[in-house]
Amino acid sequence: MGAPMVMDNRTTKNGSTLLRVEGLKTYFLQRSGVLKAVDGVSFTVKQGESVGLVGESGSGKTITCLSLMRLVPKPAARIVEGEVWFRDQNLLSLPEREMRGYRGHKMAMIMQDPQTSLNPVYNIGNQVAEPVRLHLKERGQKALERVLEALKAVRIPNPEQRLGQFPHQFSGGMRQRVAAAMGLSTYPELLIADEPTTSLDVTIQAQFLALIRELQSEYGTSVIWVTHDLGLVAQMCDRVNVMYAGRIVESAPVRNIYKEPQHPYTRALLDSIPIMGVKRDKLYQIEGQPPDLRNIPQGCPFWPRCPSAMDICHEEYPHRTSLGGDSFVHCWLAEK
Amino acid sequence: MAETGHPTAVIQAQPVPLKRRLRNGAAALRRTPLIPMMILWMLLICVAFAPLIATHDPVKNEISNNHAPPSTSNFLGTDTLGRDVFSRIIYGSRISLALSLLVIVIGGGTGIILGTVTGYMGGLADALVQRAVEAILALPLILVALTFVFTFGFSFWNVIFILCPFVAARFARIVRGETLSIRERDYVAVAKVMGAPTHQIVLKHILPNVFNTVVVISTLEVGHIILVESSLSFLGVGIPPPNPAWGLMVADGRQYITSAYWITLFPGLAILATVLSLNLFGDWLRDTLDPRRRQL
Repeated sequence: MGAPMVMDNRTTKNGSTLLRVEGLKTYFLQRSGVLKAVDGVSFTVKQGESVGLVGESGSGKTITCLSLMRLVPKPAARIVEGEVWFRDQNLLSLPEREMRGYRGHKMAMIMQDPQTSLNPVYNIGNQVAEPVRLHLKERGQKALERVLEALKAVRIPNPEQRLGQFPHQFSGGMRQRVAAAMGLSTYPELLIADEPTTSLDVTIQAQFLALIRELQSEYGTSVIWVTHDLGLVAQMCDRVNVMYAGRIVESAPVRNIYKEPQHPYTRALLDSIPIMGVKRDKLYQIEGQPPDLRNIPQGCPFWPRCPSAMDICHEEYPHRTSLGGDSFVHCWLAEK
Repeated sequence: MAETGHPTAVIQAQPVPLKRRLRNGAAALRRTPLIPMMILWMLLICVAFAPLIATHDPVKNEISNNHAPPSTSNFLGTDTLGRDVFSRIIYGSRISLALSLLVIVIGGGTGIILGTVTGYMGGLADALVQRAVEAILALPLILVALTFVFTFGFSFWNVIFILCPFVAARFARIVRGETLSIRERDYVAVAKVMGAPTHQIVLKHILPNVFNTVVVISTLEVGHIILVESSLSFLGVGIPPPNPAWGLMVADGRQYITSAYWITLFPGLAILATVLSLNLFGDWLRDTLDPRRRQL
């Protein structure tokens, strides 16, 4: 590739940067104007790290992830700017053919709804084998062994027997495990989990999360958790990126986010979690609506809903304020 | 794959009791459309062994023996020119079946390809194909076929040529609709995320899922094509006489329906039995091919 290698080339196994997103912008070009779904997002994911991408619905989490995969809905959406470095390779400059070698091989994704993420006409063995055949080029007995291994890894009981069964013979939690097995069958370095637990009940959810954590420590996979479940984030993530109106407004280690949130939006999100045992008349909620992404207010997009908005907030988007280490926040309050 | 000592191996090895197996067998038998399948088998046998089954030459006139009622020498009687109706029906099955299968394979195949590919890709190709489909579906089939056959002459191949675009348009329309809904399913997204190339997504994920629909419309269309061919023959622009086409035979006998009902009735029954059997068979096939219904 002719792209300049500006990034530092740390190749030590643990703690080295696996994914680095720089100024990613994904816009929907519509007749009524430009919808800025992702507007200058930058973050990094280290080897073996769990990173949370948190925000309200419509804050651009999913589109960010699809942009990493270069699978934004065409022709409406377009990645207009930015770089996505996967190790030493800028994914956005790769030809489509080579990009396909990354998808499902080095980076896999688990979808939200296990009910529809499996094809009803193929049995489980066949489906889990698809990425194996596609990327590892293994066939027959070898592929079968790989599939069994993946199914065992996600703790599906009696995998030999389950291989020949169809998705409708599996429960929701089991299907999500199969989906995870599909994602993990090629030993990806990065797993993107797009709200994988929203359709599971709490016990199954806990099991699933424990499973992913186990697999993560076993294989050293990095995970991006896309969610609005802050409980999940607290359990699973090392770092949290809070997104609002297509931008990351705060990024910090999970402990700091919960202990001393810097951005008013983060604080508001945390306040809106019900606390067990504490009786409240009404659940706290953030006033107003998230902004229309076609028409983001000037300045900080959060100011119309911000309890501590100042004059300057209406005028200019706050600069990045470092909070030490890789942590940062975009807020005028922090700048002072 | 047999893992020795695995607990499931024991469970699996237990034989299903004979009583239950019989009961399952009986249940499966009850769901199978035996009569339609028998009729279709008979039809296939007629097609394959027409010369052996037919008692007379289907195109040989015997004016002295015209309008003879069903008897031992002419099972289903004779027509206006004294030809044996039974033999003509047997030979006619060849023409009807060959015609509808060819049209389904050529026209339907084109429709399926167009429907899945353009439905999945969308954009300009999709728009163009859909406008073409609309244009074709807006044309009155019988009228167009009439004009076409009058202009280019009567022949088996001309009938096929004019039927194919109509069948293709129907298939393309229905298959595209189905494709649009399947395209949005998560497993297609999963396949994309997995890095599967477009042709593989269409072949492995879209096509098998539209297959149920394709089977059903195919069986329905075969019936439809036989009927259209009959109508065309009835109007005198279908299969050129003296070939024994079923629709043509019905048309031949219509003037004598009060005096010699057998000329019209038996070919009509043949059409009815074939079309009905195909539809019932198609229903059963769809249920059997669907992995979710197979277990019921």
